[in-house]
Amino acid sequence: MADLIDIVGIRSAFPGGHFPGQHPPAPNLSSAVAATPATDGVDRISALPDGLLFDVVSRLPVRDAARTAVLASRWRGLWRAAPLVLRDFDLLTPDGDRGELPEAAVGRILADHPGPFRDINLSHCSLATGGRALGDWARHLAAKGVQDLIYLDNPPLYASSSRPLPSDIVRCGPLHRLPADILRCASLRRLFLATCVFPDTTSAPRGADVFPHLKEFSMLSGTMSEHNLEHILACSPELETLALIINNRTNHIRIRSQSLKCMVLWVGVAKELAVVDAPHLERLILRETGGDARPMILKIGGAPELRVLGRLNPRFHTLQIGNTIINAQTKASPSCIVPSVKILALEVNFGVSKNASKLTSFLRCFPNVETLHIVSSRDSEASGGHHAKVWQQVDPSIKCVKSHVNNIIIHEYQGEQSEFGFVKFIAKHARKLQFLALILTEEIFASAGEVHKVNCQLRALATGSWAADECQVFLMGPKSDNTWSFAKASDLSVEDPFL
Amino acid sequence: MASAGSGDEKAAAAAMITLISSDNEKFEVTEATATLSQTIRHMIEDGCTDGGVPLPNVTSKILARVIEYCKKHATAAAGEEGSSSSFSDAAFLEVDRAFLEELEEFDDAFLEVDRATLFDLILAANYLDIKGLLNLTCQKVADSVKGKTPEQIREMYNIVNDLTPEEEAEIRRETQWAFE
Repeated sequence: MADLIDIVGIRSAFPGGHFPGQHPPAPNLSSAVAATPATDGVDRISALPDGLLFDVVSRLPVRDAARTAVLASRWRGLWRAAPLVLRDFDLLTPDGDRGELPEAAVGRILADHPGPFRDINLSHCSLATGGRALGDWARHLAAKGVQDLIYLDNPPLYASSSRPLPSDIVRCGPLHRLPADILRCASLRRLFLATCVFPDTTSAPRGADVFPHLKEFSMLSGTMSEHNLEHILACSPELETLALIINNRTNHIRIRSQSLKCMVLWVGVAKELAVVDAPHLERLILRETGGDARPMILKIGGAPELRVLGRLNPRFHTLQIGNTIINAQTKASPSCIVPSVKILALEVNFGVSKNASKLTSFLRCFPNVETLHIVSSRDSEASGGHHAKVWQQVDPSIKCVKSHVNNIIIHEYQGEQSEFGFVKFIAKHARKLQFLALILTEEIFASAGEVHKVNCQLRALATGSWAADECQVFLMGPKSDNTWSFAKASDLSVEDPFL
Repeated sequence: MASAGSGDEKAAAAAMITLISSDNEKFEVTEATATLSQTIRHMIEDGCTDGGVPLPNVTSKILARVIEYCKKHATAAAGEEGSSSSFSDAAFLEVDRAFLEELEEFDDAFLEVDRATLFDLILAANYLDIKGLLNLTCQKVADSVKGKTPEQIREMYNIVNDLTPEEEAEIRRETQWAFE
């Protein structure tokens, strides 16, 4: 079976083999020190305590690091004694091609070094062509205490294709299953797997001691069954972040976790995402999930601390809160609201008049939202014309809009009548509004005439039409954002991931 | 909430700490600057900074440089806190970026020192537990070693090779993949 993967996208997302969430490689500083001649003849570097030399050695590409052993007897055991940091990117030939396959060197290094393995980043190996050379790599990872593991497999790519595909999508061979030893890496803090099949968990040990320290788990463009996902959640008592990125094989995602703080579902089609019991979940991030033919059911059950939610799209998502499926007729009641949500992002096509009532039905479920992001989408949905009047007929009794929202950001604003109708609605009803930002699309921003038009539109809003006493309005240019910015979504130190 | 916070900040800004170098020179710094050092932060928490903090491992020349670094980065940290609390700063993302660039330039210029000073800074950053400064200085050393042959590294850092040819050959055999 052939799979389609966006290998170009994946690679562009991780320049230089650098993965999201990893400490960025420090910039290569101009080496003034190297140029300074050694005048006094004192060997200061060898006089550093072991801990500091370990630090220096672990910052070197792995070959350079191991080679320091021949400098002098002081250095002989240092590389082996320092926690291993290995990026297979550093083993490629200088022009970055796979002329000499990195698998053999990776296999040898993992066998040679006694551990612990602090940071292992393998994103240029292939289980299909290099599996044998890698040897017992996964067993070594488990035995030598790997803490931070990134494994991106490289399935063989097929250049020709019977069907024309978008230029950045490549047909690849079947994804390979990871060795079961990965499930025995009890020292893992962070695990990022990509373009591979999660190991079979059916006969694997289960319980809180399987991944007792695992904080982050991400799976990108891989295959992971519902059963495997459930296994990870059940075996990781400290798991805080779970990210499923472009996974289309997990149909029903059910979240039961006492520790999870952040769940990211990024570009992938699932039938259902159910937050069943997640008492510490703060953040649920969705991006391009669900399809036209079959909306994804998003069930919010036990998530009492959910603060940040989005992007919900009334067209692609069926929202269920508790036992109530939300629709235009749903009246707000304690059983169908999520009072904890403070930051909400919704995506909507304003050009379709029926979307106004869908949008408001969603808004009614989140009565305490303070920051509201609206992404004005221009999807292929048949547009019913741009009726500015739609929003004059909408029932304005929306608790969050009336009593709580103080920041509204409309992304991809084009100044169409239907969008402006929503702006007027907001101005008229949002009593607590302090800050309204309209972020223009690239095309609009590039045209001085269009920007002027939007400006005039806003000026036409007379002072009298604002419900809030004092609201600042900003017109802003587009920000650089792309499909691959999922790292920000799961970064809990970023207060508002939709900005 | 916001007004209470800024009041606290003012109080913190007013609190001064005296650092005393190994050669008995006294440096007055704000608590925000001093607490970039985890070592000093713990001393402040334990309430043992009255009468100054003696730093017997750090000379006045190096301490002056360390304080210069901490001052700059303490300002940066304060700026960051401010922006995350106030939403409307989204409009000033560009300004933030410019500030970060300026900080990078500062770090680059800060590292333009002779090798003896660099190693003294590493030792001071380690002793005072200043993560950012330790990262910066260790990375500087690593960058200078990267891609060099053992001979070049020995020459650069005055390392005397005390391995016998046999020992060296043995090491090369053990980690052959690194020398290919």
